[in-house]
Amino acid sequence: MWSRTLILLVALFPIPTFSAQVAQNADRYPIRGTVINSLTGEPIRGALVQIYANRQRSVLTGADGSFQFADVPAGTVNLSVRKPGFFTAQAIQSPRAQAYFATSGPYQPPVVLKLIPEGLISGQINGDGGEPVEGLSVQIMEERVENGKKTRVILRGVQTDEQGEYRIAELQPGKYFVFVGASSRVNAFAAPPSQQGARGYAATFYPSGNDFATANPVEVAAGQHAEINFNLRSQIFHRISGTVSGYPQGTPGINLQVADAAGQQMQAGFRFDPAGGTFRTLWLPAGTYTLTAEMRNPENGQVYFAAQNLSLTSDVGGVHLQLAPGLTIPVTFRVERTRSDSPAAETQSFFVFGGGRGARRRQVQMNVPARVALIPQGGAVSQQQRFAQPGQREDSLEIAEVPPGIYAVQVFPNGPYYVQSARSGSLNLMEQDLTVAPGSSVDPIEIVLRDDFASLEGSITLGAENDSATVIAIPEGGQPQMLGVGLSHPTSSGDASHAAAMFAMGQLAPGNYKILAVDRPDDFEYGNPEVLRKYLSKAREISLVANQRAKIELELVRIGE
Amino acid sequence: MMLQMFLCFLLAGGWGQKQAPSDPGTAAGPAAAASAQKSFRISGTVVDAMSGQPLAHAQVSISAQGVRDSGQSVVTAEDGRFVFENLPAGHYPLFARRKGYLQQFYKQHDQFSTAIIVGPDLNTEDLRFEMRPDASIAGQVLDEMSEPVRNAQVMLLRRGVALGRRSNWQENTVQTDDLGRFRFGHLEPAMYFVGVSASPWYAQRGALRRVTRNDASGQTTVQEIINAEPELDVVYPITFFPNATDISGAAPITVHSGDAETADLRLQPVSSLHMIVRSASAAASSGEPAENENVWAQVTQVVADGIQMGVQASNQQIAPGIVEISGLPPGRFNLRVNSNKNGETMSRSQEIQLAGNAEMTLSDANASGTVSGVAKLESGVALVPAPTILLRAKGSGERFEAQADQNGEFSLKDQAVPPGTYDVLIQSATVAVKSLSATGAKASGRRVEMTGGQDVRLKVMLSEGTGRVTGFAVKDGKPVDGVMIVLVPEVPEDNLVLFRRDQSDSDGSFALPGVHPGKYTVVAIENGWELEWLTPGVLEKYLAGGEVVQVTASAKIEVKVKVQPPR
Repeated sequence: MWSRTLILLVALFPIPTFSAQVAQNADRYPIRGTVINSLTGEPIRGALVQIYANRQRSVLTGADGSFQFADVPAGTVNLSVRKPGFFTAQAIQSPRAQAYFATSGPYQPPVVLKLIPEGLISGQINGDGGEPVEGLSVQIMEERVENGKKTRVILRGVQTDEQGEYRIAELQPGKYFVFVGASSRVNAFAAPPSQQGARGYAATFYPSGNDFATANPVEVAAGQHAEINFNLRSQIFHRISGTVSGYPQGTPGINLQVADAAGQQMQAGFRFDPAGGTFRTLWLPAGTYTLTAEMRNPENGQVYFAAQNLSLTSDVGGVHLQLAPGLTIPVTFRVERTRSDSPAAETQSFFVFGGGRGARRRQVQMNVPARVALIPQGGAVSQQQRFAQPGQREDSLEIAEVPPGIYAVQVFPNGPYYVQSARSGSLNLMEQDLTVAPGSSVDPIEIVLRDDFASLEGSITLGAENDSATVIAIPEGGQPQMLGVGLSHPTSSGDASHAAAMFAMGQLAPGNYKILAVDRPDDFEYGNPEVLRKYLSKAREISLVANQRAKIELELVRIGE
Repeated sequence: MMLQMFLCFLLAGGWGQKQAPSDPGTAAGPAAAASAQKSFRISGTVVDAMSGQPLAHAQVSISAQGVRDSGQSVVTAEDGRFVFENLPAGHYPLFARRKGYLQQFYKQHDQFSTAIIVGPDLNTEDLRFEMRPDASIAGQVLDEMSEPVRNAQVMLLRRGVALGRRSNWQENTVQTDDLGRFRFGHLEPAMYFVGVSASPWYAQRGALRRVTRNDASGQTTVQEIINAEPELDVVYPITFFPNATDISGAAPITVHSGDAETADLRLQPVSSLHMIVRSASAAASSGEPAENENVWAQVTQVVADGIQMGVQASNQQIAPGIVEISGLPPGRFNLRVNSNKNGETMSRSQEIQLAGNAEMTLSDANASGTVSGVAKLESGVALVPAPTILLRAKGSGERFEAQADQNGEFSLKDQAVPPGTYDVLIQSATVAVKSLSATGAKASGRRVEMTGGQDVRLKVMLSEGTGRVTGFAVKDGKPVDGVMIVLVPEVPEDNLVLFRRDQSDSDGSFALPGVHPGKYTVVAIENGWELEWLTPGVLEKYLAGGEVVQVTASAKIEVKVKVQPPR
């Protein structure tokens, strides 16, 4: 099987061959040019053009979009250009983007600098009776590939005004999801006999669904204005109430939160009464929620957690949150040294907080061959990453105060090692997640590192259209893994259609690999096995043994083709 | 009654945030429990304050003061009517909101409103709740090329009577959008000013590289080597509607209920001013620059008396003890230069008027001195737990705090307190500053005036315990609601902190808690909300018609106060 986290990345950025020329003589020439709108070809006036030739020089374009720098020393200079409402191709990271250059010299033609106009999403949100709704949050999300996995990122958020309108400019060309948050202000009404009820608007993804799965992206092209309106129907909101137990008397505060099914925190405004241990949320739309409570005992610093999932379809009472202390998981290392040039120890500095009230932060030095992190996976109570730290006695490492949840364990060697194994009891942490259940215990995390790593170097044929590539090494399942970054060098054959780049990767665990060189890693969801499978046929296979220095030649694989 | 508690939980849009603790002194305490079995009603009609027409679909809410989970809401019918039934006796603030209207408490004036007092023999039916339509000011900010200015800071200043004094204050600040547009909604009828602070997006301050040379005579000269293009080293002055760089030249925008006003502005760049500031020691020690002296400056622009805005100025120390500030428009500024020499921090501050490039030396007269003192009770005993002493600058409201030790000693040595007049306060609900004396400064009442450069020692006398004044506002023997109640201390000018105010509730009752011991006069003034009562002489006309009270610690005083018409 192909294991999931075993990815190696190398970014290659060959330096353009024409940039390295430096003026050797004192000849001076003007640099002239025009700034135009990439879409319409119209000149852009009042754009700021800057060059750096001995010093920074700046000029604004005239009404016809033209600019001139007089007396520039002969040679190639880098230009930058700016104007509100526009992007440069570099800013939007277009794969064909190149920096703006101009040459100062005799008989040089004027340069043309293109700026890409921004996109814009605006609209109106109407509620019951077609009335505009004020004060709703509107967010724009984007899907991105980070570390080979698809993630959603909130780019911008605004609130609707009195006319229910919102407007979000400065958007690069792309696909966006438009999301309206649930009302934080509800309309109360009397519900007989004496109860209170409230209506509000539930969270809505464009065009109309209540969860991300139903969302349709809005495609915004350069210079495009997308009008995205919503017509919302109010629904009855509900409240959650209950009790919290398991905290010491006199606790200054308990942090209570509600997250929706997508993991987003709700503006739920808890009311908590420490004397009775009772809580109640503000009004929430129907849905699935996770309630969490977190509390730090000020006396000894111990952190307590509780979590409860529930489905809200009417007012819910009697929810019980039982606080339990977070789990502390010891971390041990074994380094198997086979080389005489391996360091004897790797010292790492930690900042440690002593437990209890008024404790101070202090620095502790320890011999630690690798950093160990717990990365929360879906369903974790807290989304905070936790790292192994020195324990109270400062002679061993531990991951302290781990709330219940599911975690991926990641190991980052501090020295020239690869991770041969990472286990918790019988659990192989390189293939499986670690589950921390409330009230249970977890076996110590045992990590074995080795120094007899292999390395890999080679070249990639880029072709005319690309000036960079990323190498991804996918080890065969169950093998030790680590991340390595190689250096790159362009081959200056002079013929752009045969441009190639060199790469080198170190500290690879011995084993079988599939190696891919891709043009656009930002669009490559290689963490998704189904997506990866489509490209594996184009990968080169290689088998590395301990201490081997292997060579490989790669063809660039274009993502999305 | 005073609102601050209720405002926050009602405006949050839901019931059930933290409520005001139960106060046994009000009607909602034991009295409410005793008559809980009886039930009462609150009813009335919501009307448009301008037209008098009934308003349907208004959400009207009540919550019994000090009673948890007692909040409830109804929506008015087509005839604007609302009714709350089966209410126990108590003290009910009444609140309404409706689209297109200002959300407000019943008869609300600033932080005061008339609560509905419910109980036997009290009429709480057929209330008339006047709602004022929303008003707005919107506009667009364009630059010298008639292009929109994005992300400009637009401030809304309001002129009115606040704390008994006619003044300007900052009501709100918003940012312009990509079209340069801004909008202030939900405005109360008042007089407003709109001002814009922005920096040209293309401005180049450049890295001002300067070389300091010491010639044979020991003279230090600063030579500028590289500068940015002067035509791009520009700033926008703070610009007030319609086209003024100072509030005195600005046109007020008078907003009435229901108005939608427009305020478009155009910004014109001017050359950025540069200012070189020499610390006193840098100026004095010519030939011997203080090598280890670090200087940095903070600049705020004074846009109106008491209203300051941050300026996007850049700051560069060009020689020991010498700092260059660039990116300043012409105008009135508050300049504070901090210097650090051998670990000791000094601060000098000065208000300046800039019309061109300037050089200045901060003289010793502007230097901050150290402030220390002792705070004790009248008995000579230090307070336990040790209190926090607060110096609040008159005008700017800037605060400096020091924690006293177990002997009542406090020191602001590590803070640079600029010269000026300060109210000396103590952070406590039960302890007050009774009197003040000072060496190195002038003290009167609870105020101290520091001239700068002098070490100041304060002797702060504290009094423990507060009293409570309650009563009724009456006219021709009948209680009157919605009247302004003012508790006036003996020497009003120096004792702003001793004033207490309230608005009479539906049964004419009022409550003034937390009154520090002393002699006061309680006055009740009808339609008195626009009265500049802090102006000397204004309240004097009402004092004869008021009730004199002598408040001691933990005293509970009840008075009947005659309602006076505005004079």
